[in-house]
Amino acid sequence: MKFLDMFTHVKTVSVNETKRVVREQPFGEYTLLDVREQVEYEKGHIPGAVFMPLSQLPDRVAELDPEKQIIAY
Amino acid sequence: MKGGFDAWNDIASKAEVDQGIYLIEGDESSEELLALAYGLEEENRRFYMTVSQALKDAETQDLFRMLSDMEEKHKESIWDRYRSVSGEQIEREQFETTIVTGVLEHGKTAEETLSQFMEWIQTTADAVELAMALETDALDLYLRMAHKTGDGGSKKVFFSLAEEERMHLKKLATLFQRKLSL
Repeated sequence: MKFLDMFTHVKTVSVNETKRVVREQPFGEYTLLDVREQVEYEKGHIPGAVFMPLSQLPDRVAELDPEKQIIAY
Repeated sequence: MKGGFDAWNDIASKAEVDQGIYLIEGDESSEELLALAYGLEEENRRFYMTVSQALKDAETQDLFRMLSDMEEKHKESIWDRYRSVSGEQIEREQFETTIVTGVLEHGKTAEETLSQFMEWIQTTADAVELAMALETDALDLYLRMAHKTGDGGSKKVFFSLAEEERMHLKKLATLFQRKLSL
C-alpha cells in the first residue's frame, strides 16, 4: 500500500442506498464485497456478494475491478 | 456499508461459499451456460410442481403451480436467447437431450431441498417464504457464477439470468404482501 493510499477517502454507504443498488442498479456495474468469515457469510449474505475475508484481501484484491463501485461490509 | 450485515434488513442468501459453483469451470461458452441455466430452471419447475402435488392446502398448491409456470416462462426466454446466441437451426427436443438436470437453481438437489423444507411448510405464507428463499439463492448463484467466469459474453449471460431472478423475486414479494393482507 502506498503512503498516500492511507489518506484515500472511503465513503460510507447507507443500508438504504445499498438496497437501492441491489434492487435497481444493473448487475455488473458494482461489486458487493463480504469481508467477514465463512461461517458468517453462510449464515446470511447479500445475494451476489463476493466472499473475500479480510485476512485474504491483500492477496486477492486484484480480483476486484477498481473501475466499479465496490460496497464492502 | 454502514452498520455491516447486522444492519441489512432485505433479502439475504444462505448459500454456502461453494454451493452450486461446482457446476461451472469458468471457461464455458455462452451456449453451454444457457444450457446449464435451462437445466436449472427445468429442475426448479419440476420441484415446484412436486411440492404443489404434495401439499394439501388448495391455495398453496395453486401458488406452487404458479411458480412452476413462472419457471417454464424462464425456460422459454433462455431457449430464445440460446437460439439467438448459437445461430444454429436446432430443434428444441434435440436441445433438451443435452440438458443436465438434477440440481436446483440454488445449487442443491431437489431431494435435499424437499426433505429439508416439506415439514416446515404449514401456511401459504411459509410456502411463499420458501419460494423467495430459493429464488434468492438462485439470484445469488447466477451472480457468483458471473463473478467466477472470465469471459465477458458469459458474464452477460449470467447477469441477464440474474436480472430475471430479480424480477421474479419482485413478483413474489408483491404476492407475499397480498397474501399477508388477506
